[in-house]
Amino acid sequence: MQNIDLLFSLGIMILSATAIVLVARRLSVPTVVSYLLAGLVVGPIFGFIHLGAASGLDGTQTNQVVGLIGEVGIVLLLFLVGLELSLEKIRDVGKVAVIAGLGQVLFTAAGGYALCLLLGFDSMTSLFLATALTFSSTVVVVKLLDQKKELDSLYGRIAVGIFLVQDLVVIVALTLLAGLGDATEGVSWWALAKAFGGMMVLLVLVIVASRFILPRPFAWAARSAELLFVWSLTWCLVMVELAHLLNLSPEIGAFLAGMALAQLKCAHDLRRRIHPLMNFFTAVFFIALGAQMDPVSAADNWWPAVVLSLFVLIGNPLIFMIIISLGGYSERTAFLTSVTVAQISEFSFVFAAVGLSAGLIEPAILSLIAVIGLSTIILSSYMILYNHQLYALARRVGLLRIFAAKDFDEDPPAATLSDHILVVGMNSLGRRIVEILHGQGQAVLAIDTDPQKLRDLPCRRMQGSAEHMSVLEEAGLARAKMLISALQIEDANILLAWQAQRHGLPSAIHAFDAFVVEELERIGVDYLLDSKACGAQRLQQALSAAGVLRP
Amino acid sequence: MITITLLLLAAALAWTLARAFNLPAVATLLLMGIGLNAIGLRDVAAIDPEVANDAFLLGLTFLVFHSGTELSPGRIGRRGATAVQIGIIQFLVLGALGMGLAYLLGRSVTVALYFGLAIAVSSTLVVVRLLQQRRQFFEPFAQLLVGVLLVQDVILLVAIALIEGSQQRVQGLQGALGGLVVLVAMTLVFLRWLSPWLLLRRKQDDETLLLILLSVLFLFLGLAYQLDLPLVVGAFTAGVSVSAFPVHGLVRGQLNTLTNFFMALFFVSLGFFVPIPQLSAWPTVLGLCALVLLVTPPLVAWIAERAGMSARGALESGLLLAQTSEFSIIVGVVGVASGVLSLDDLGLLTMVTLLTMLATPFFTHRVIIETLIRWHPSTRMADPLPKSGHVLMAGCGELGFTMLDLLEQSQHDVVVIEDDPGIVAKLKARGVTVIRGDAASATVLARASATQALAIISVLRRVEDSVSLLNRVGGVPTYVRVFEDADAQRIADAGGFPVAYAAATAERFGHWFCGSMTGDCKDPGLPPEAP
Repeated sequence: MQNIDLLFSLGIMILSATAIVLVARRLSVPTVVSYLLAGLVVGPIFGFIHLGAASGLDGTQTNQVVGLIGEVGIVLLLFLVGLELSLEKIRDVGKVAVIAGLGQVLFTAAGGYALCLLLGFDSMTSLFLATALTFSSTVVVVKLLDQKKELDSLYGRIAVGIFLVQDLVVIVALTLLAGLGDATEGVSWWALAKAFGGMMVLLVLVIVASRFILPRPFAWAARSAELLFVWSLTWCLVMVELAHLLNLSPEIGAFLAGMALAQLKCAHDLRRRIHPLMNFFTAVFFIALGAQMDPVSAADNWWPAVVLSLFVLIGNPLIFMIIISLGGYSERTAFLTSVTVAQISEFSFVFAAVGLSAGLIEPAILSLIAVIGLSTIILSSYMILYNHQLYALARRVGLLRIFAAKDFDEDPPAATLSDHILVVGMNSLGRRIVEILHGQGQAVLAIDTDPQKLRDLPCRRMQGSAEHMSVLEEAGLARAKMLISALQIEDANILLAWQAQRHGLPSAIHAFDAFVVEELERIGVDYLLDSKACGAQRLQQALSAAGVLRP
Repeated sequence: MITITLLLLAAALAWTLARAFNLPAVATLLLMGIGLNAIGLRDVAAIDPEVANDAFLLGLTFLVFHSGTELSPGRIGRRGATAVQIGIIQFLVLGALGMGLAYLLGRSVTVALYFGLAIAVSSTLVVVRLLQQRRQFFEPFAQLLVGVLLVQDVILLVAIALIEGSQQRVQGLQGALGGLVVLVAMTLVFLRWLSPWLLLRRKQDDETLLLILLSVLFLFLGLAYQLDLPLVVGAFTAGVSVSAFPVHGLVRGQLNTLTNFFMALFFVSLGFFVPIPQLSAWPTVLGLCALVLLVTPPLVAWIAERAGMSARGALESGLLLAQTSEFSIIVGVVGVASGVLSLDDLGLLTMVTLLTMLATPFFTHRVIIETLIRWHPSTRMADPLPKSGHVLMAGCGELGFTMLDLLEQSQHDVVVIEDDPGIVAKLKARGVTVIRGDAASATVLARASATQALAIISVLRRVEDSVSLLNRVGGVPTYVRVFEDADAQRIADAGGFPVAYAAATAERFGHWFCGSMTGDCKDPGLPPEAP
């Protein structure tokens, strides 16, 4: 085979990650942390020690491809976020996001700079450290929120808004930094203008595209799962390239691409389909990130490491609580949002690496940042995972009274289905069953992969393939009353019968041919929809009525 | 990232083409890749060859992994003997002929062997997709075909492993065989114990599930590497180890999009890199295509019919298998990697695959099948039966016997048209007049004196066949059993009496539901239950 190295690298990364995740699950460790740990474990094997260009990895071609995979992972993640949130949802939280985002950047940068000077670092080093501390990690937070399925909550949206604002600030910082090293002032201002102008251009493009250009082609493509999937990805990557041309980050391009598609009916199914791909690639990203860190050589700097980590862990949330409470949001939202910014960004390493290669800081500082990064990411992951519990604790202890924020509930309770009947497969049989059950006043959820088949139904509908566990979970299988399948697909029916059994649900499955009956009876269904037998009966009735059959 | 973007864009266009014109996606993906190469993107270096190379490699791995996951032992089991028979015979015959042709046209023995192997198998991807699109996937002949394809995939991989192994100076054939045994043993261990344990015992969330699956893949890849076997064999066995029910159901959900993504990259980048065969190689290309297209259908049809399949099913099977496979390309890739084949050879094999795959939808078109079936001995024009006023049953099936009883009780003279040899035998044993053939064909209907019948009852599987029948018998009251409401409309429009059984089934279910699930149903809103 051509290049085994890539498979070897990926293999080691995945195997170690799986081993750690399987063990760490018991301790409720967030997967992000497990990935970082896996990276720490395998890092020395690959020599991922020196940070290089933008992709963060240096040297061999394999490492570059691994870096590319990681990049694509981030792009997919932000694409998914965009798919979840539409323009309206972001507009709501725009103002507070901008204020909070900018406010935090200013505070952390200023406060961090002062703190570093106090700790004894020189001014250039302090500047770098302060900048590295300022930005929070979009990737980590978004991944966690996605896992908790809380991206769509109010605090989730505010958090996403803040990160996007910070992203823009990062671009400004990077451009200015390039200008610092370049000494041709003219270039950097043009680049800045390009970036801001580009942002406007992209936004306009997204609005126009989502309303006029995209709906019809995507509705056509939605009939075939692969078509929809590949065109969405292509659209996403094209937007990323566009963003690159306009000097913007790939994250912004991907996010906007997703937002453009968020309106479409197929958005939901699309998100489900992209998830596995995203999970794979972001896993690689985090493992590679962990592999790049060299915490051991930061041993001399342990005291600054502790101080600065605490500064990020406590200081950042604090400033957020103040700003958001002042913005009129509830205490709960303010707290939950604040908790999301208690870490530094993976971008900080890139930033520091650039500084190292430009000779502006020492290697020891790089390791220091790595340690701060590791500790804040790990601890904040736990904080975000258990944010609701933390909030309850903080309330009980009375910590939050200082902020004098209002106490009310902002997120509407999610309308969850329960005690409903799932009907899979909207062919004539499925539709008729839906009509009958609906006519009797039952709550029904119709599921089919083809959006055309879900038209003109009186009940709630869901597009997706019922063979996938995630679809069944979202359909509320655990809370349902019964599972019915009208499909004429043997494999799917058998799987559905098995799933129903597993969840202790009564089931009615279409036995459309003799050879399916045996399997179904083995698994155990409550009712066999024996369509052929009913057909034979009806035929007999018709023939009797026509006089062909005489009694 | 521009490389990935371009490759994906090409893939998106390819899939659109495939969907719009009903062509196999694999073929259009290859075409797009070739197109990218042709418009000079290679020179412009917009596509980074290193990245494309790695994309190719990952794509290959996931493609083969996916093929392995489709190999559910149960699928082969049902019509096992016939599937194995057809699979092996087609493999050996085509392989030998291919090897012979290549040798005659000037290749060395080893290269000819690889060529023979490459054209010996049919494409699982293309055939399965075609069957699904035509809604024929759950007909008996289709299930048999799937079995045949899976058998061929297995044989091919074993052959690759052994041939590659025998070329290794270090351990040779025995080493390869031994390695295979170890790999298979590991697969069985996973199938039976480890996969269910890892994936089923606690309800794992999606991400963990995916991680475990990928770990299994990489584990097997590592094992294959240690055993000096080709990596594709490792990927395939990894897939097999998670192919059993119900593990497979969980797997599919996670792997679907991953596979599609990498598959797209694989075929597009292959089309991009592979040189188009030069003029001197085209005789070989066309010769191999001709071999596949002209030898496979009669060969397979003959074996299938002898094994008890209906004439039409056998013919359709033969035509469906007349193409080479994505695995043919894999044979080429393995050959190039071990230095036996040149890149030009790979280009040749890819072109053969592309052409034969493109031919398949046309080859298997209804019109072609109906034309060819007329040449079949069983449909030769024979004298029409001297009957009138009889009741004609188009299709019998298992449930037809009850109908037969009722018709005979009503003192009717019954003639049955049936294609399945097993049921034909049972009917003959009962002393029923039976004509073996395709009930939609004009010759068979003429033989059954269809236009003289009192009534016709059709339980044919495909609604197109019933419509053809209606068009040929005009005037005779014809009762057709249909599932979908839309089909009922078509039958009514063609002048028949549709009996829609989906509604009937739903109503009976409604009665049961009222009775057992909700207790008292005051007004179920259903027609009264039939006795």
